[in-house]
Amino acid sequence: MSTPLLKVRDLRVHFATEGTVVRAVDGVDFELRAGETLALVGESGCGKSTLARALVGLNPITSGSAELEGRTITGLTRAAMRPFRRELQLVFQDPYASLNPRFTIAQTLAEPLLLHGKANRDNVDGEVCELLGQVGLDPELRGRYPHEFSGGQRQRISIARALAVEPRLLLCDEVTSALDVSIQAQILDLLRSVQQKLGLSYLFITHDLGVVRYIADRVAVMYVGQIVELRDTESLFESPAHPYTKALLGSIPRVSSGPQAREPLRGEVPSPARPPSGCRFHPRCSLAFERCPKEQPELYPVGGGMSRCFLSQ
Amino acid sequence: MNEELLRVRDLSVTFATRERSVRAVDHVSFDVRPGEVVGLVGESGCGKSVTSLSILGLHEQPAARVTGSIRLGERELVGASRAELREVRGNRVSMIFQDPLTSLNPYLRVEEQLAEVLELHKNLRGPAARARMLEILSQVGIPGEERLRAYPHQLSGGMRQRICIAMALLCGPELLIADEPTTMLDVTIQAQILELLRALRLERKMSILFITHDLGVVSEICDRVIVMYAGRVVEQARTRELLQTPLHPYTEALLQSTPRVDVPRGGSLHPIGGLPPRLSADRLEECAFAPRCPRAREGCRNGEPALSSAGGERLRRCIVPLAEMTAGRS
Amino acid sequence: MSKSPFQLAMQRLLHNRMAILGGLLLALIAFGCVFLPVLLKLDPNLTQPALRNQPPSARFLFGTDGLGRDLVARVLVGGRTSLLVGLAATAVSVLVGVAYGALAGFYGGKIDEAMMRLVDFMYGLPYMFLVILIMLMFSETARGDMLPVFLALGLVQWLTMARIVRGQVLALRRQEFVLAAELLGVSDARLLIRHVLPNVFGVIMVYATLMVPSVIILESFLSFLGLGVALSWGQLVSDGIAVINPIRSYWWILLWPSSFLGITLISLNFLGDGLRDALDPKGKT
Repeated sequence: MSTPLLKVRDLRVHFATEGTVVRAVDGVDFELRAGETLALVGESGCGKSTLARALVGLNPITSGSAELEGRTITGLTRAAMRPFRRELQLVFQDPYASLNPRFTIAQTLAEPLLLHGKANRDNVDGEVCELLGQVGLDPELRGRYPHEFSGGQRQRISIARALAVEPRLLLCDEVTSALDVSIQAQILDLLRSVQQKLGLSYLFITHDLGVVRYIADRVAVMYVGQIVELRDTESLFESPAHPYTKALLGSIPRVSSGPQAREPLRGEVPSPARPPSGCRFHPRCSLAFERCPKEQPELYPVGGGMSRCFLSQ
Repeated sequence: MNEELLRVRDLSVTFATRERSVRAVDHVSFDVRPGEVVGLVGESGCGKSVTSLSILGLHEQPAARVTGSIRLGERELVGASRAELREVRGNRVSMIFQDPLTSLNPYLRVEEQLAEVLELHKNLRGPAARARMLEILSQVGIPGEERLRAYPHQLSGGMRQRICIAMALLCGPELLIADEPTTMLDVTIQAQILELLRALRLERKMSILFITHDLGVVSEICDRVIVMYAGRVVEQARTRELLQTPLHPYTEALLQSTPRVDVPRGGSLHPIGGLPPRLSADRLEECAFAPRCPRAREGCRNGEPALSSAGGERLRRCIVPLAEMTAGRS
Repeated sequence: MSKSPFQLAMQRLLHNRMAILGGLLLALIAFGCVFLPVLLKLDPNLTQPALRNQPPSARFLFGTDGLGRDLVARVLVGGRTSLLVGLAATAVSVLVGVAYGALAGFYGGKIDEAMMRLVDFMYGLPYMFLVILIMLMFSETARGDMLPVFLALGLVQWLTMARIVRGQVLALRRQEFVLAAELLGVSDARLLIRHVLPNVFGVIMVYATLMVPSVIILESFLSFLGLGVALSWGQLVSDGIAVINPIRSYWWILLWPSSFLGITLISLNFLGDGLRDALDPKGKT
């Protein structure tokens, strides 16, 4: 069994604010193999974006570790992180904030190329054109400014910028959530084709389970800072193990034969500053029993993965 | 023949900027009957939000020019005076918006905001007003008095949206306009809010004009759907029929490009190529969707198709023969 | 041809009539003060006691003062001082304030806290008192030297600029395009200079333009108090007020310098407001 590309061990990211501790990421373990797409799914406050940003060093880590092919990437100084910048990149959600409004597209894309020696002053323009072609944009547009592009086009440019350094692993932080459905489909297809051509791996953060089913090999469902289910995609959708996953799948409005007769999940999504005792899902769980508020369940193996529920033990 | 509650005819909204005029809504017509939930569906820039804001006269004059007719019962709303509109707003027609945080005044407690509406329209104050507030809050699933004293920032997104719904319902409106009310909510909370709206609509026999881009949500709550593209109505049908057999290529393409939770992996999405059109005030020389349409043909460039009947109450703006549309995917 | 955000802003500015008017008046006054005295060979210091306190006439368009000096010359040459001081002191405070505020905002955390504490402390000092002190110290040694004036005035204004720039930089530092550049491995220096500062530039320009009138007024005030070092509009206004009496009104001695001063200040404000609208049409500053 080869070394996984990414290995995350008991990662915790806590923020101290005004007397309380927000346990945004509270003990996350998973592995990502080369060439695969792992989706990180959950609702607000589950910690998926915090986790992604912590992996690239934008959030400080409280404890735990992450390794990229056996080399630790957490707890490093800015300078020590530099070599990893070439291997690990992140694409942001908001297409209107992720490009410097005063740089032309050519300047935005040339910067990483020149910085990491992928091109020099003479051939950088050619490389920029090629990058744009890779993401399906007309190279003729490279002299333009971001405000002249649509949201979907800007996301393509952000993806191109991330690809410029030729990374091994791309973290996509809700990259299609701000886009229209038809444009979202374009971007998802682009990501898939780029992955095949360049042999990339993706950590795909999203709240949209439809997107997950389309693009992910495996899925990690997060709830209040922890992974509650980690399965291969089809197993998760065909036979969800964790009650939260079941409720989540049940809540999704489907384009189908009419309003679902399911009962929606009761209660509010808990705040990571005040997680419930024991199993964090127990206050909203219809299957909860005496053990649930008292003990925290571990991840127990189930077919195709793991589930953090005593019922799976 | 049901008497319509809301009758929109040839509604057009044009915005004038320094460089050019943009017609965001182009001769849109539709009805909403009493007790019916009508969905207004489309992607950004299609004009659905602009349409909904026109009903209550919420556009900024003189930037927006609104023409056409919007009749609420016997009353004409286009061109109505400020006083007339104020009488309708919050009273006969209410509206809830996408972001519950900005829809509520951050400086006022919940009870103060509810009290304002009650005082203005129903002349209720003091204990009578309070009783009504508690009644409405429990109807939207927030029992008890504690929430009345809260400030909006102390409540979760789902709670805030419930408060907004409560405020909208205080005066027993005949029509509720909901502009993407669940788009910013978590999926599990969205399910709660949709269930709430379904229940309220039945209890009160209230109509809802539901604006969204999510066809799944449409399936959950709408009786009828109006699909908009580039400021125009391109298809109109009962929900089941529309989702099972779309008769306009845009509706079809929208369905095909939505990643589905119930479709196993390995399927393919069919993205719609290209970009939505730039709106202008000029007459269109061709079908607005033609540049991106997988079913486009010669005749599509010869002028904009008219909205034509497709059997029963169905309408569509397309020249592709019905038989070809129903025969299957392109 | 693709327009950069800066070019678009300039386009918007050119559509703003008040800003254009302000700009034109400013240019006119500046031109007049700098070139006319040379072209017309005017001497602000030539005293002609026989011609003192003359009202405006064909020969002396603005009249003469108590020592028979030509007021046209005095107003124009005085304008040089006022404008120069305004620009120079603003330039000093911009340079110091931007550097200080950018560093504080960029690094944030403890560094920012410490740096801003210093600013808060200095804000608390009675600055008029300090300015006057400085002027007194230097007035002994440097009659007619402008440097102490720049120092004194710039010393106060940089605080405001520092605070503004720090706020902007702090916010921009967390914007996603800056984070993206950081993630690509871009160095701190380049992040600050190429990514952050150009996007703060607009705000700096607006506040600099609005700072100039403040400085000019401040200088006028100092001159008015008798602490001025050179001929300026403030000094002239002071002269004008000194001769107000109920018997004889020498209104022209006061009118011209105060009008020039007023028009300059209003024009700068129009220009500043226009810049603000042009650079930030959605009103975020």
